[in-house]
Amino acid sequence: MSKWCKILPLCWLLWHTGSAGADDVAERRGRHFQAGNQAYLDGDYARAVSEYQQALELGPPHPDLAYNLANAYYKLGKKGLAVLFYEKALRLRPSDEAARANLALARKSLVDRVVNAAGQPVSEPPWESFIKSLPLDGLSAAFLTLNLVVFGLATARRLSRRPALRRRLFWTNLPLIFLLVVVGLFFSAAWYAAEHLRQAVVIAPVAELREGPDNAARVQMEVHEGLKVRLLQPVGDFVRVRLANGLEGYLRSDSLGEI
Amino acid sequence: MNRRAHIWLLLLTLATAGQAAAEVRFSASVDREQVGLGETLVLTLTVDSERGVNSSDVTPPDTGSLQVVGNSVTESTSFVFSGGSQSFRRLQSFHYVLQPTRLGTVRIGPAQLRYGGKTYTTEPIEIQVVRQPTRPPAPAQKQRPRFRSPGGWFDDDWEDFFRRPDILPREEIRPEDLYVRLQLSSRNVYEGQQITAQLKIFSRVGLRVSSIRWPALNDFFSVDRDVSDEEAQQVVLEGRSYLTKLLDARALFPLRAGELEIGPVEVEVELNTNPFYPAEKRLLRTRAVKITAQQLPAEGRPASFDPAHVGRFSLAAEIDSNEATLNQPITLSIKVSGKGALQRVNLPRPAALDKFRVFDSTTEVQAPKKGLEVRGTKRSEIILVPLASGQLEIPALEFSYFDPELGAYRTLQTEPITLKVGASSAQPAAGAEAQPAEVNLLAGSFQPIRFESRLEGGGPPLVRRPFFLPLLMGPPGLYLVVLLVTLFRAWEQQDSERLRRRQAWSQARRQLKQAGRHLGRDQAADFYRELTATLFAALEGATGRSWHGYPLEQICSQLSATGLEPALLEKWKAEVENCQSGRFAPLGKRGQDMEEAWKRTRRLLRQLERMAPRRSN
Repeated sequence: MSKWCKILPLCWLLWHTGSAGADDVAERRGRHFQAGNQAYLDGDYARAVSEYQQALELGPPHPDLAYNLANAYYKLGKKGLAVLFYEKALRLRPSDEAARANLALARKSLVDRVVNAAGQPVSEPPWESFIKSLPLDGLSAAFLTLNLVVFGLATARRLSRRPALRRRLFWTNLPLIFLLVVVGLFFSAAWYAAEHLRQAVVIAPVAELREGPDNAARVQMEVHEGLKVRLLQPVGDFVRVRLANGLEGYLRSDSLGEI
Repeated sequence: MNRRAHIWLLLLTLATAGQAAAEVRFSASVDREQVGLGETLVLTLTVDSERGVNSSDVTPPDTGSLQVVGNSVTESTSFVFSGGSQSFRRLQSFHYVLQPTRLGTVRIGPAQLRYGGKTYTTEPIEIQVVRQPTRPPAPAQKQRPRFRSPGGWFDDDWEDFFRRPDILPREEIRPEDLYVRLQLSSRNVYEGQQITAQLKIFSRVGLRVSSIRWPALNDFFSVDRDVSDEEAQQVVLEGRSYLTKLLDARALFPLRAGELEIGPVEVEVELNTNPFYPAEKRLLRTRAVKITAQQLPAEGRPASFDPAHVGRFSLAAEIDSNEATLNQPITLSIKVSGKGALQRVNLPRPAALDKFRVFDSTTEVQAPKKGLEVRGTKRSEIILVPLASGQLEIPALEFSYFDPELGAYRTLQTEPITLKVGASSAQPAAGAEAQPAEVNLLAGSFQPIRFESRLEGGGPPLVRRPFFLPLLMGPPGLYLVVLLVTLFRAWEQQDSERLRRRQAWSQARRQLKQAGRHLGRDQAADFYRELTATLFAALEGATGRSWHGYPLEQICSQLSATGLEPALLEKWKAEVENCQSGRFAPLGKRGQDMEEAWKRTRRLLRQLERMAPRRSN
């Protein structure tokens, strides 16, 4: 009795202290967010960017925060950073149509148009766009739920000794198993995209795409802010990247912002 | 009447006709009876005769205060068949160009002609000289016949000119008889202010204009003017009569401040329009002209001022309807009218149209080329599609310009336009369900920031959170465990002997443990009962069958036949007998005996347990 009387208050104190600290951070984050909104309304976009960045540093990335920050960058004329944060907002919330619309507007004013050998505009492969547009969190939650239900029913059936109940459980579970497989495929694709299809946006106004990871390497071409590239491999201060038309080269890491 | 009378009548008629043909007709006429000061009139003396007359036979009349400024003679011949005989008639016209020198009535006296020993005179003519010009202005839309030629225009004004009395022979043409001049409306203007450059030709000879070449006007924005309706006029300069005509005109707007030069304009003319003779070409040039373009004043210059906006303008903005529905396009017309370089005017656009989808506008300039001043209207039409319902406002437009006549900047402003936008354009028919209108509220418009967000959620994706993998693997893991257990159970149930042995061994161990408890409490009877049960359970575990109720001798004989070790069997039998003895006669077997019996039984249990797998195999 005496032992628990000492431990329990200590646990409560520790939990309360941690919770209060978290609340304080959340409150400060919210204040920066609102201050950024007010600065945006006042037309002070530089201050809005500063406030949003501080809010971003106080917690995990949030689609609304990324979207507002992108808008502020857009108003400041920093199209590369605007594209980067619109992409981040869409990565966090693929159903964000406002971010998609503003991203389309921002892309209209970009310098680079990626074309193929015939001079036709090239965008990323459709399958890549598709799997990147899959909502990873939604699919994760759906897959977890289905996983729990399907294996729960299977376990219940295994433990049941009544043949009628076992039969009913089997036929109930059969379509759910099919659904689990389908959701599992999409979930795997979305997970693969999140883990392996790493992309970045050129945030420097102009960046030199070189043939090698060296400042002395020949410059293949100049790329401009807002261009989206696939990250392949980091090499020192450079990253090997691939453009949508398949061209590869090396860009300085500090000229890129990973989505 | 008899036949002889008819013949005499015919002869009399022929004789009269022949006498008439031999006569001369002499007359005087003027092209107008009223003339203004500075204007000219033409007096024509016409002689119609058979042989023709010399100029010396004609004595010009006394023209009083009308000064003779030119003269010429034209002549034509005609063939006359009259009364069965043929004759030639010559029609000679003596033209005198007269110019009044004072107001009032002037009398042109009779002219005289000596012909065939006779003197003929004309009637005197009275001319009214007035102050105002009497020549009516050229009609504005008068269509004059024109004939296209490779080199330029044939203008019938010059055909009239050939008939003028002051035409000169080609070999006598001096530079002052034929020249072109560039006349400017002003030589000192503001940057962007219009200058009208008129190219005029002055000639005392008949000609045709082949081509006009303007110099490069890089410092000017140039607008051609249409002067095709301009007529040739007769003017007297320094006592000489010229025919002058406005050949071309341009409106020039200086593009920069400073001293600007308009180079020579070249005009190529042909001096002979007779198609049967080669034409003589002459190239006429104007002198280069310099003008001064002043810089627009910095003082009072509005922020929205565009240097192209110099002139005098008005601004208007309107929409085609003040009511609309979502997705229904409306047209916003923006119009700037006035005088100035309208082609260069940048029409104002509404500043903030966030609640509209804005389509590219169409712009047109309506500026007639007639007239020397550039004036007209520049209009832009913008298609707006409302993206929100309610009262929407199109903000006021502002347009600044510099008025060179006032020397000041002016700023025009329209009123804001309010537009009432309904929620939907779908008007359901009676009894029909309303179909929602398809409204693309996102395309083409910049979406605002989000104000209401608690910044919750977010964070790394579910798959990167620590609980994800346990949650993912838990259900299948649990299922796997259950599956294995149930499979194992099923497998066990299929082998009853193994189950029985396992249960027997479990029971043996349990009862040995129970016997140990009785040993601790020194309960001899219970101890030996449990120990006996342990020995039988162990034998069942070792052999796979129950031996309860069998006599010990039968058990031993049967088990000997199965190959069980006789020594072990003997030990088991001795221990059972010891237990039974202790159970039913406990007094002699307590304490140390009980403990040794427990240990022996435990040892025996282990030996039987070790033997059991070998037997089962």
